[in-house]
Amino acid sequence: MVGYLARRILMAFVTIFVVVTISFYMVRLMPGNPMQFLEAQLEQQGGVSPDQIRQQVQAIYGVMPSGPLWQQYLTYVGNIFRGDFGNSMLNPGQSVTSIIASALPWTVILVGVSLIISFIIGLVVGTILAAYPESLFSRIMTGVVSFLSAVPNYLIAIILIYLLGDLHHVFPISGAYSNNTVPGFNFPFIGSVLYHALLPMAAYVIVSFGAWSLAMKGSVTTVLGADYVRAAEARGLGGRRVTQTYIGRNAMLPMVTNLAISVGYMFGGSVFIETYFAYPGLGYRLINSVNSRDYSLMMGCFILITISVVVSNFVVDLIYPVVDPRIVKPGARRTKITPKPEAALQTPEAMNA
Amino acid sequence: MWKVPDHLPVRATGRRLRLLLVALCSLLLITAAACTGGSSTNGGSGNSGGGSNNGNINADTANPSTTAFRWGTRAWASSISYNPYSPTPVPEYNFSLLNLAVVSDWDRPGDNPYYPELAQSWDVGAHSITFHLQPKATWQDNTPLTSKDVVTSFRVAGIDYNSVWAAITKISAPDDHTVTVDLQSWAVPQNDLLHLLQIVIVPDKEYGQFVPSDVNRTLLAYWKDYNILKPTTASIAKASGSAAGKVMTANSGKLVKYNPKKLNGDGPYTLQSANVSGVLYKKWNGFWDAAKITAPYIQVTPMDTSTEYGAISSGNIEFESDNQFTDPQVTTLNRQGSNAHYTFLPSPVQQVGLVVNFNHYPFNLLPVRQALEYVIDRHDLVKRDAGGQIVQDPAEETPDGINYSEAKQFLTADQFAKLNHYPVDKAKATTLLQGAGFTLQKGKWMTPKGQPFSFTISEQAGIPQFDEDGLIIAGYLKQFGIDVKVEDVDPATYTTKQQAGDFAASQTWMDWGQGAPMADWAASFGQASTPAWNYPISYSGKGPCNCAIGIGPEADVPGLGHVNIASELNREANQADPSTWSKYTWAWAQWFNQNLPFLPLYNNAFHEASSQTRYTNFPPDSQKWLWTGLSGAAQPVEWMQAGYLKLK
Repeated sequence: MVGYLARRILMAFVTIFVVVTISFYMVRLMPGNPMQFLEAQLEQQGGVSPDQIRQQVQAIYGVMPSGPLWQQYLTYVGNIFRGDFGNSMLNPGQSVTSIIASALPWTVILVGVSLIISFIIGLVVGTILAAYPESLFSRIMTGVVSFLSAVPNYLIAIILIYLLGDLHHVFPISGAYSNNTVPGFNFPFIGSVLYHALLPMAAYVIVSFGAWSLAMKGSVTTVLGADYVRAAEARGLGGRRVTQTYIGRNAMLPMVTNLAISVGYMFGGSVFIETYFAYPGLGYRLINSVNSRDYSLMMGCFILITISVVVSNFVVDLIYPVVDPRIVKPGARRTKITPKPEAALQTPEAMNA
Repeated sequence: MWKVPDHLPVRATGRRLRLLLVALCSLLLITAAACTGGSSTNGGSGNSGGGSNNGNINADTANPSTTAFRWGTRAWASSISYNPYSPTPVPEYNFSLLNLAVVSDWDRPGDNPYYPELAQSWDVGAHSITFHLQPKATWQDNTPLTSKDVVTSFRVAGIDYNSVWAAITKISAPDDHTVTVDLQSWAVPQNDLLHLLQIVIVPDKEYGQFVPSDVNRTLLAYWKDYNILKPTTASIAKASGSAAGKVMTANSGKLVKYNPKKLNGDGPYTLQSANVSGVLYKKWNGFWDAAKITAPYIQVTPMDTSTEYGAISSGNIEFESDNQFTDPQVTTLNRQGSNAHYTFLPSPVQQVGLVVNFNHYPFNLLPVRQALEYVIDRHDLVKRDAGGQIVQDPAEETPDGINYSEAKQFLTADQFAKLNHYPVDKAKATTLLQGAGFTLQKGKWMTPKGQPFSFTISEQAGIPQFDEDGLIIAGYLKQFGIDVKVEDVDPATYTTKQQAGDFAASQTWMDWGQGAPMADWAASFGQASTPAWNYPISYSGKGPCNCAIGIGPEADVPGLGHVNIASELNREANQADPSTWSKYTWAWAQWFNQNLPFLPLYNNAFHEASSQTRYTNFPPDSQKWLWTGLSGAAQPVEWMQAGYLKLK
C-alpha cells in the first residue's frame, strides 16, 4: 500500500509538472499581452487620451517579467515549489494566491452546492425512470431530461435572467451578495448570499440534473437485469430491501465515482454561468484572466484545476474499494487460492465395490 | 481464482431518518434566513429611512437599500485596488477622490470652462499657473488637504510618466493652500492647465513614499533627455536608460503595485465596500460641500449591455452611461409618463473614423480611399447604427478629420464650405476607381492586378456600436461591388494587430479633444515612437513604418509647405499660441480632406439614460457640461453641487 501511494503521488507530481510546463508556454503563445489588453480596455472605456493610455501602459511595463522565457520559466517553477504563484499582472499589488483564495468559496457555494443538488435530483428521477419505465411520468420526463442535458447552460442562464431578473424582478442578476450588507456570519449577509446564488444555481441544476438522471437510469436498468436481483426476489426478500440493498447500492457505484470526479472538476468553476451572473468564482476569474492575458492568474487557476482533478481521481481510487468491497484495495497483496486438485473419478467397479 | 474478504457494513434505518430530519430542519433554517435577509436591486420607490430633508440628508440614518443612487456600469475586472494608479482601480473612485477641477467634454457656460473642486480658483500667467486650493478641503481621516498633497500628486503623476512634466520647470508651494507651477518658455499654459487638472489628488502621507526627495530633478532630467519637442529613437532610449529613467521605472513599478487597505479620499463619499458584486459609497459629512450632497449612498452595480436597458426602464437603477440604445428602446424610455429619460449629446471633440492600412493594397492609392468615402453613406450609417432616426439625426459631417464642433470653432463657414464633403456619389466613385485602373466585371470590382477588390474590416470585440458600423459599411461596399468581410477581434489581439499594421481596415475613435485641434491630429499622426498610428517622430527614415496607417512620413501641407507630419504636429500641439490655432487648423483640414489618411465617419456622442423612480431633478439636457464629464468628480457629484438631484 505504501508503495502504491508513493507511486501515485509521484505520478501526480509529474502530471502537475507537465501541465505547468505546457501551460506556461502555451499561454504566452497567445497573441497579445497584458499591456495591449490594458490599452484596448482603456480605449474602450473612453475619456482617456492616447497619451494617458500610454502612461498607464508604460507603468505596467515596469512590473512585467523580463528576460528570456526559459529563465522566466525556471523562476516560476522554483517559486511554485515555495508556494509563490506570483502577483496578478493587471493588479500587481495582489497575489494570485489571495485572488484564488477569495474566489474559491464562491465556487464551492455555487458549483459545489449545485452539483450536490443536481446529483440528488438526478438520482431520484433516474431511479424512478428506471423503476417505472412505462408510466406517463417516465415518458414525459425522459424527453425532458434528454432535452435539458443537451441545452447549453448559458442559454438557460440568459432565459432565467430575462424572465426572473429583467421582466419580473424576482431575483438579482449579478454579484454574489448585496453590497449594502456587511460580510460576516449574520443573517442579512447569509440571506443575501443565498438570494444571489439562487438564480445561478437554478441555471446549473436545470442543465445538470438531466445528465445525472440519464446516467442513473442506465445504471439502475443494468442492475435490474442482474441475476443476484432475481435471486433475491426469488428468495422472497421484501421490495424495499431489494431496492435499497441490492439495486440501489449497486446502481450507485458508478454514480459515486462520477460524483467524486466531478468534485475535482468543480474547481474550474462554471465559466459561462459565473460570467453571465458576474458571480466572483474561479470560472469568472479564469475567463477574465484569459481575456486580459493575465498570465500569472491564468497559470494559478490551471494549476489549481489540475491539482484538484488529480487529487479527486486519487481519492476515488482509494474510496472505491470501501464502497464496493468486491474491488481489490489498491496496492493490496492478492492472495492466490489454489483449488484442491479434483478427486480422481472412481471407476464404475470401484463405485460398485 | 482470487478471493476477496467479505465485510459488508450494516446501516440502521433509524439513523437515516434522523439524518433526513436534520437535513430538513437545516433547509427550513436556510430558507428563513433567505427570506429575512439580504436585498436585491429590485424595487425601491421613495425613501423609507433617514431624513428626507433634501438639503442635508444624513447617511447614518438612511437605509442604503431604499435610498442609494444606483449606477449600472460595465462589469469590471475581478480584482480591484484602492490605488487610482493601479490598472484595475475601484470603479468610480472619483466619488471619493477628486481632482483640482472637473473637466467636461462640453465647456461650462461662462468664462471658466472647468468646474472648481479642490482648487477654488487658478491664475494662468504667461509661463506659470497658480492654484488656490479649497481652504476647507480635508481628507477623510480628518487631516487637512494642503499644498503638500497637491505637489506630491503632481510628482506621483510624473513618476507615472505624465508628459506634462516635459513642460514644467519648477513646482513650489508658497503656503499651505497655494501651488505654483512654472512652465517652459515654449509651453502653452492653457494646454498644461488641462493636463494638470486631470491629475487625481492623492494623500502625501500614503503616496509620498513613491517620490524620492529629489524627484523634481529626476523628472526634469528625464524629460530633458527625452526632448519632447523633437524626440528621436536615441533621445527616448537615452531617457529610459539614464539614471533618472531607472528611478522612474523602479518607482512607477512600486506605485502600480501599491495596494492600500483603505481608500482615504477627499471627496463627498467614503468607500464602504468594493468587490466584483458592486461598490457602495456612503456620504461623508466632512466634505466641505456636504450640504449640497443629496444622495446618502451611491451603489455602483456591474451589468452588461443586455441588462442595463431592462434595469433603467424598470427603475432598478438610476443611471447608466455605457450603452447606445436603439430607437425603439429610446422611444420607450422617452415616452410620456415614463420615469426614464435618454440623453443624447454629440461630442464636441471626438469622432469615429475608418482607419485603413496603407501597406494593404490598394489603400495606398488616394483614388481608392476617395472612392470609398463617396460610397459610404455617413448620414445613413448613423441612422442605421442606432436603428432609426432619433439618435444622431442629422449626422454631422466630418470631412477634415476633426470633430464638427471644432471645425466650426476654428474654421470660417467659407473655409468649411470649400472642403470636399464627399456626398454619396457612386458615379464619382466609379470614375475614380476606373481612373486608377480598376475594372468592373459582372458587378464585382477587380484591381489593376487582376484580383478581386476585397478586404476585411477588423472591429474590436466588445464595442457593439462598431460591430454594427462594420456590418453596415460592408453592406454599402458589397452593393457597390467590393467584397468586404467583417471580423471581430479580441481586445488584446486587436491592439497587437493594430500596432503591427496587421489589418486592412478598422474603426476607432480618432480625436481626443486635448486642447488645440492640432493636438487631435497629433494624437493620431504626431506620436513620438512606436507603437504608433502613423510614422512616429522618432522614425529614422529607413525601413517600414510598423504602424497602423502609414502615410508620410513627410507631406506637403497647404500653407505650411513640405513638413515632417509627426514633428510638425508635435511642435504645434506643444508650442503653438492659441492665436495661431485657426491658421493651423485650416492647413491640416485641407491636407486631411485632400489625402484622407483615414476615412472620417461621424461625430461620436454621449448616450446616457436615467430613471426618476427614486431620484428626481436630473439636469436638463441643455446643461451639456453636466452630462459629459471626462475627469474629476463623478457626474452625480457635479449634479448635486450644481443644485440638481433630489431623493424623492
